[in-house]
Amino acid sequence: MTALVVALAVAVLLLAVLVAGLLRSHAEILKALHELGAGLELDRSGPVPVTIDGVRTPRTGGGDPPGSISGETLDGESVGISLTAGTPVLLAFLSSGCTTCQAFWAAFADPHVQVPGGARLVVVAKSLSEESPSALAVRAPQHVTLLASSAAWEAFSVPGSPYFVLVDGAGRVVGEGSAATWPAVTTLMGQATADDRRPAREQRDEQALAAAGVHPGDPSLQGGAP
Amino acid sequence: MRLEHGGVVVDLPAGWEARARTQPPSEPGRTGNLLLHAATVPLPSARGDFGSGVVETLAPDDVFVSLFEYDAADAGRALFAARGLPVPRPSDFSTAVLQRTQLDHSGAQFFFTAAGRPFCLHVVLGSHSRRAAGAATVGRLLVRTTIGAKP
Repeated sequence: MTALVVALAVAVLLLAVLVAGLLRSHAEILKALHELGAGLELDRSGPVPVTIDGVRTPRTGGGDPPGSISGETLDGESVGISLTAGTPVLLAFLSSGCTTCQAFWAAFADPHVQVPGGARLVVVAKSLSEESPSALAVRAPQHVTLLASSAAWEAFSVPGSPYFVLVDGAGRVVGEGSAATWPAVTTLMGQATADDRRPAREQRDEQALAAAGVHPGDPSLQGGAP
Repeated sequence: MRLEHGGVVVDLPAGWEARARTQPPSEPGRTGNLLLHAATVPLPSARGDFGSGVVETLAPDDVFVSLFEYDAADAGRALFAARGLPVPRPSDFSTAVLQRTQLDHSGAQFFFTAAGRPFCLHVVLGSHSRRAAGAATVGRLLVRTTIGAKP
């Protein structure tokens, strides 16, 4: 009987320690969520907005992107590339050590890699003082320009790798973001290019209508039988 | 955009791309010489000293510039008697000054010494018939180029 009581007491003690541990870890999770800005707000309904450091908000037009980038190649060349030369440029910000980047290094090894919008592909790694030149040399495709430039990462506020920025021939960013695969990137950048062309098409249509004497608000634009 | 390599500074105009490197020494014990390429088209990593691999891609309004440094010992030779980086005029260009004759391409070549360093400036225009505009484009680059002492 005494042995049973002792065993039960030990079991209760162990369970108490377990519950205390769970409560403590739960409190730490709640504290972390609170620090991220997702703490409980009982007087507020709907989803709780969460801001996580490192995930950027979309570019809103403030802070113009640079018209050029400069850096060095793996063989010690100093390189300056204009982003306003009339040809769109897709900047692929990659790292040698990032796991997700490996799919892109492999995709760019294909000499016939299709770049959305007919853009020129430029791979931008961090400066060689922050990267592994030997690891980059193994991964770097022969037919694609690879530029090591931490300054370019800063200039485009790149949050991490992989990250892609599509710049039109006038130095304007028409699309940027990240994805896990090259087909996903081509789809996203293709959409960005198409969306960017849309206002120009609409403007052209409006000009054609204006030339024909049809202006905004014209009754003929309202549809229906004449 | 400012590109600096081996004592040469180029403030690249918009629309230009440039690459500069230090060549391996011509003889053991000597310092390597500068090779700077600039063009209004993308510069591939594999290209010849005087533009093979690049000039084939020039459109009529495009230009290619190569600044090739020779050994310092050559600075006293008559070939490099001219002083300072030249700025080519349209009349300096000829279809004969090319490694390989390209369709309507035009070239000019100058040997000179600047900051005690002997150089060859080799320029290729995409179109001989549009050399006035091409020479002006090249001029916009060269007036922004400064050659200093070898580091």
